[in-house]
Amino acid sequence: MRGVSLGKDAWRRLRRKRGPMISLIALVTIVVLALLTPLLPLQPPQRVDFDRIFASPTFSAGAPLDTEKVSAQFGELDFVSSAMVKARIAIFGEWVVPSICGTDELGRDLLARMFWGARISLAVGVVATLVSLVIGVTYGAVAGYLGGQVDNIMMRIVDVLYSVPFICVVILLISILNEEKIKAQLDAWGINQIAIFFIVVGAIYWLTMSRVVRGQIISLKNEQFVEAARVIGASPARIIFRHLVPNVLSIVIVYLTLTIPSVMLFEAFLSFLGLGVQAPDVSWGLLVNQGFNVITPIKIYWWLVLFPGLALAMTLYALNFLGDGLRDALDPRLKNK
Amino acid sequence: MTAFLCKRLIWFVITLWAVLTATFFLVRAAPGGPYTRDRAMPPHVEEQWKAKYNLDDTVWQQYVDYFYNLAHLDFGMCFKMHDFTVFEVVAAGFPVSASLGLMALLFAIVLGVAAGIVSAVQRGGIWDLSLMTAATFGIAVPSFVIASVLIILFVFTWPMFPAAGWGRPINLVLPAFCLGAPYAAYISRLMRTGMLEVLSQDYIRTAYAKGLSTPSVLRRHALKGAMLPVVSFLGPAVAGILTGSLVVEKIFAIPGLGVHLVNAATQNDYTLMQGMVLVYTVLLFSMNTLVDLSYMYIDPRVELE
Repeated sequence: MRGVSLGKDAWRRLRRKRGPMISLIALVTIVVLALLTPLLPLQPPQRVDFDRIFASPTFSAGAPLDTEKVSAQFGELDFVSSAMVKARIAIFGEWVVPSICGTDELGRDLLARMFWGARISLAVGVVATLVSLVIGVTYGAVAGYLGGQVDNIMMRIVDVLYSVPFICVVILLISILNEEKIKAQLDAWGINQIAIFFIVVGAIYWLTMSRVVRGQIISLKNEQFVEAARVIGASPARIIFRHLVPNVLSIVIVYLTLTIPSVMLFEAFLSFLGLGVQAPDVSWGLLVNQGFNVITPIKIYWWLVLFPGLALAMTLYALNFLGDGLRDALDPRLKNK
Repeated sequence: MTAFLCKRLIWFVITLWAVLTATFFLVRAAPGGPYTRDRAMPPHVEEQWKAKYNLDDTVWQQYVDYFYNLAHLDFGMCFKMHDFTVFEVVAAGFPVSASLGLMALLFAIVLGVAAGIVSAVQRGGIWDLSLMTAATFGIAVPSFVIASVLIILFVFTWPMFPAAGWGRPINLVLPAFCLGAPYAAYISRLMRTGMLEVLSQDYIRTAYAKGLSTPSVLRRHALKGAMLPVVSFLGPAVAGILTGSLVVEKIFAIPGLGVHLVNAATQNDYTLMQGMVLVYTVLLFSMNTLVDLSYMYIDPRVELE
């Protein structure tokens, strides 16, 4: 008869369910592929090729990579990515994977753009969710622990913010941040536009997290371990962050996995409106936007819409499925079943 | 009840004031004004134009004037669209957006509730499995991807619906479906969970034992109890439909409010932006209040604060 921690018990329960485990494996695969994209023998995502515009999906060989002009074909790369591209050239030489997803209106390979877009879409999802996590957990934990008037006021602010139509504020903020002078100033400080984007999106999604965390903290506030900590002389900050927050971690994890798809959807949505990721960066939302813009009754370039849409849908589906599975697995009422 | 409504009204005014103030200063924080992207204006023209829109007053004066006008229901003139007041622009676009949103909401509720009930009653069966898979897809796939695929399929491949435009009932079908699909999916999942919980209660067992048929039991006893999570979801659903309508209106070229919102923000049209924020906030707040009121009707045990 061995004692089992909540985490181990939850992992064991999660492992038994096929659906969430397949989702987990799929997601890990996607993340690994996204991280290793510069190493993969894909066509360069920014190489314009007017001989091959609107090519439908094919298995015939793609145009070989020009090993000299790296930055023209791949765009601005940071240190790690450019090292990986150099490694790729060393291993694979000029050979590229054929355009099995077709090409777009400038002859750029869609498969490569999907892989590079995955990096940005996933990064936005994860980072923005982490931002909302930090803000939401801190706000909710402080409000829940302090209670009384402070809690009242803090939750009133959240209620008011709930009534704000966020889409208006986001569009406004992003338009402001897109102004040339401000953009130049931010670049001077080293913050690029995507980083601002992360923060703006994260700043919207913290409300629900804070409410949930506050509810949990209020129910845990009067437990004996909190009293014990107070007796020893722990400061409120220490009690909140060292004792209470780790106990609400399970519900926070569930909300994390369910917020990431919402954030990715929101980013795709903004990119579709033209307000999100800007060219030459790629994201899945931008790809769907570009695919949508070329739908005409004369010729249907279905691959430009289907493949990015499928990628987005599959990832979001897997995340939602995993989140549901996690919620059931982490439910403390089902412990040891 | 009246106390509740009075309290709500006070909060409404406070919220509206806070949001409008924030927007007022945020819009003016953007560098440049509504005309910095066009050709530079000769200075005397710029002077007259600023005088017309009171931009030569101090910011505080403008602020006070704005709220004074608001109290008299004067929302100001648009900056970019000359000769149109904000009120006229909103009045032209609002019925269109409202009917689209309403259709989408209706569709979401009807489809979602029906699917949820069927899933719950036939728990574990083939209907349950397929409907819940469809529901997870509805949540995961973005509305613009659904819209693009549907346009390719039902407008170009098998021409059944018009691609864009407004005016006839058939124009409503595709947009309302695309807008409402994710919410139908959420509502069906909520309904299924609520229904499963209610159906395991003792009073349902009693009803069956009395000899009532399944439709009667569902309609008279189970539905009300299971509706509560769905009703509380309607608040965020309306917010989502307001947001999602931006994209759907762009895709189907529907002359609603969405295009004005995006244009006002990107073109620094102060008055129009504030007008749009006002409309959206009012809508959202009223919907949330309606949802809270309906709690009382559905579950008499709920006490409103």
